[in-house]
Amino acid sequence: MKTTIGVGEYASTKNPEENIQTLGLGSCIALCALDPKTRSVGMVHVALPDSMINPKMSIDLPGYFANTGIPALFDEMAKLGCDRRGAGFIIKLAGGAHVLGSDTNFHIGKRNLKAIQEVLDIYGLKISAMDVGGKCSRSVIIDTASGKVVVTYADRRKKQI
Amino acid sequence: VVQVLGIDSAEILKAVEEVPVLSDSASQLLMLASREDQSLLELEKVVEKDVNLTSQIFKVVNSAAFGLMTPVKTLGRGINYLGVRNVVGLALQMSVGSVYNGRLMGYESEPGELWNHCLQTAIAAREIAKCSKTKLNTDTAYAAGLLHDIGKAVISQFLFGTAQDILASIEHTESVDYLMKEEEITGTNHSKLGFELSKRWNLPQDFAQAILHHHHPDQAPDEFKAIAYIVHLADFVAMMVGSMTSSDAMLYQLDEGYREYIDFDELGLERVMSETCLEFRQIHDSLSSVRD
Repeated sequence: MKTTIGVGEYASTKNPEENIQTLGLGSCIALCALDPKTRSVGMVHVALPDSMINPKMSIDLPGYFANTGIPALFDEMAKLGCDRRGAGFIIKLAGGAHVLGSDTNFHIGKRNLKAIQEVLDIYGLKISAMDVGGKCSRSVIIDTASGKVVVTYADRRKKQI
Repeated sequence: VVQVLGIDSAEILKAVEEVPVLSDSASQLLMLASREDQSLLELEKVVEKDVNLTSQIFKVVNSAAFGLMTPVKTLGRGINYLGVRNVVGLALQMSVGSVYNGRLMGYESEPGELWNHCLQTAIAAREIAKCSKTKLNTDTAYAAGLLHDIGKAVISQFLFGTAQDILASIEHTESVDYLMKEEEITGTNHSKLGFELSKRWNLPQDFAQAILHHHHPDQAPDEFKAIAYIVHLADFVAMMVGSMTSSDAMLYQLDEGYREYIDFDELGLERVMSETCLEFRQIHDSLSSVRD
């Protein structure tokens, strides 16, 4: 069974038969959180760094922003028995592609990565693996049973991170 | 007749001729949307002649997505509530929905992806038009966004089976984009074919030029540069948030010349992205229900 999350959405599970995926990560970044202790996994599809630009939206769709999306995901995982502050989590990232020939306004992938790192710093968490940047759109899936995170590119190449 | 890799241009132009024509109401609504202002009465006159469109307007405006406390019962209020942009979207979906909703095999896309991409581009174009340095009707920008990629529906069949080779060949270079590869394979590209289709559909010049130049807005005639740049940026906004036609995702060149026409910084862009997402979520389901 696959649960697919859209832009700004998040999901978590400890059902080994339920995998979580997201499709078409342009400059967005999927943050995957794996908790070995409870064998739970979670994913949030972050589109922008900070909710300050649209506070109302962060209430309706907290996963859209790094600063509200990560806490929202961790709260969701806490319902599965995980530590609310993400203690012991393995964090993996994918996405954040850049636009060809883009100027700094369009470096949203980079700004997303920086914002995610800043939020993780607050939690004292490190990124253990990532496949971020480049010009290629990606999809990503977490295999809950094995904890494997697999990225698929538009050209169908797959890469485990 | 020029032959490029076994595809002759007459065959491609014939494919343009096979695309269904616009309904009278869609055509007239697009004409109104290209003007600087329109009166509600003018819109109502066009819509009321189209019974199916009228009933869809009531269906959409009274759908859960709009969450109105009391149902809308008069056409004028329905149009007023939806706005020109959504009425145009409905008219296009009802008239040439088959062009938008099919699976684009040449881009390895799923059914409906072209419509979703065009709808997000339209919403983003409207938001970006608010930052235009020259005054531009936001409904014109919206309709141009809805139309910008229609050429993909025509060129797709001639690109069938090419996506993986294209991706492999542009993987290691920054200077080659998807449009150049389309040109190499078919002798034309989706912008040019969209322009051909705009002639068949008798579209106003704002739309025809935005379609033709949305990847190279610098080449648009001066009077159409602003709209071409708006649609150019809106196309990227849609792709960045993951709304694309699949194999060509993100693989186009950004033209930084937009700064001359559009006044926004990185936060402005982020605001456009978030507003686009919100409106798309609200409108997508209600407009898509027209397909069923």
